[in-house]
Parts: sequence; C-alpha cells; structure tokens
Amino acid sequence: MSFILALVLYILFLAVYWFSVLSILWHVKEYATPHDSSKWIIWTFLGAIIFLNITSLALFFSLPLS
Amino acid sequence: MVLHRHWIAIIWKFLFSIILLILPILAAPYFPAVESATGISQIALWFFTLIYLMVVTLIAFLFWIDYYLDIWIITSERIIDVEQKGLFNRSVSEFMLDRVQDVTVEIPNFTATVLKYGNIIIQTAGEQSFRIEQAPQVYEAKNLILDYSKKVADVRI
Repeated sequence: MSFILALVLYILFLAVYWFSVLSILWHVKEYATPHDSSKWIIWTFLGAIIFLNITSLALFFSLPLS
Repeated sequence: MVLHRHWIAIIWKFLFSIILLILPILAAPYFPAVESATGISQIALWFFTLIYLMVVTLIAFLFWIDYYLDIWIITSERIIDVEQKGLFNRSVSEFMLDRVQDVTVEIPNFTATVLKYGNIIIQTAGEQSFRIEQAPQVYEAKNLILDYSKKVADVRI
C-alpha cells in the first residue's frame, strides 16, 4: 500500500475518532453536575486515549510503506 | 439530591471492555509466527492492535458517559429525570411532587440486597407511574420524596 493512501485513511480515522472524543468531552462540559467526584474516570480515559494515539502515530511512521 | 444509577449498571459493560482489551495481549506472543507465515510485519500488527485498542477504549468511554450522564435530581418541588441515550440523543423529563400519591421501593433480587440498590416507583393520581431504576440510597431517596411531597401539599393547603 502506498504511503499517501495509508496516510489519508489514517487521518480520516483520526478525524472520526477525535470528533467522537471531543463530542464526549463537550457533553461532559455541558451536562456534568458540578463537584462530581467521578471526573477522574474521564481524565483516565482521556489519558489512555492520548497515550494510544501518540503510540499509534509513532508506529504509523515506522510502517514499511513505499 | 442527585442520583446516578448504581455502579452495577455499568460493571458488566466495563468487564466486557476489559476482556476485549486483554485479547491482543494474549495474541501478542504469536505475532512473530504470524509475520513468518503471512509476511505482515510485526510493526503493522502492533499498529493494527493499537487501532483496535483505541476503538475499544472509545466504546468503553461511550459506555461510561451514557452511565455518567443518566441522572435523577430530586428537588423540593420536582424530580428531574435526565436520560442520555447514546451520544446525541438525550431526554429530560420533569415530574412535579404535588402529584405524588405513594412511593414504593423495590429491591428486586439477591444482588440488589447485597449491593444496596433498587427501584423506586412513584404512583400518581390517574397517570402512568414514574420509575427510578437501579438507584443507590433508595430509602433515603424515598423518604426525601415523601418529605418534599408532603411539604408541597402543606403549602398548597
């Protein structure tokens, strides 16, 4: 597979993915009750998502593509 | 008083997500064999594993947000029922406490007894009953609803 095609597919995936993540965060900002003790779960999810994203980005540029 | 569903409502979905997250870890030792058999490089296998993990994490996040944004707010005049159905579907209904006739607490099974959660069923005059399902602190909530509805009735008199 050519690098450009893979890059386009990967960027499309990331766009849909981050649209979903930002939609979730918008819902939290709009609708969460103040002083909620379980917000740390949201931060944990966000941390895991950012870590996986950065790792996948690093691996993408290591893929043996022509 | 703000009530979320009891954590039992989400625990099975979280366990399912954890099993899905563990599956690639079990498959990882076989990646060299897959590489030699199919010619797909290990880096590509790890990349697709990460994409899979990202998707599963997002699904678990969606499960959580669906649970987290489902709330009941009991105020001195009304009960507000906020229900999040998926990401872009949300319904908010309000129920006035002056219509309350009686409040029933239902502890449906063994798990509910041990983990202290249950359903609250509010009967109103000539209308469909209002249910709060899988709520924690059911007795406190029931007493609060009865107290507030009595106060609302006293004010009207």
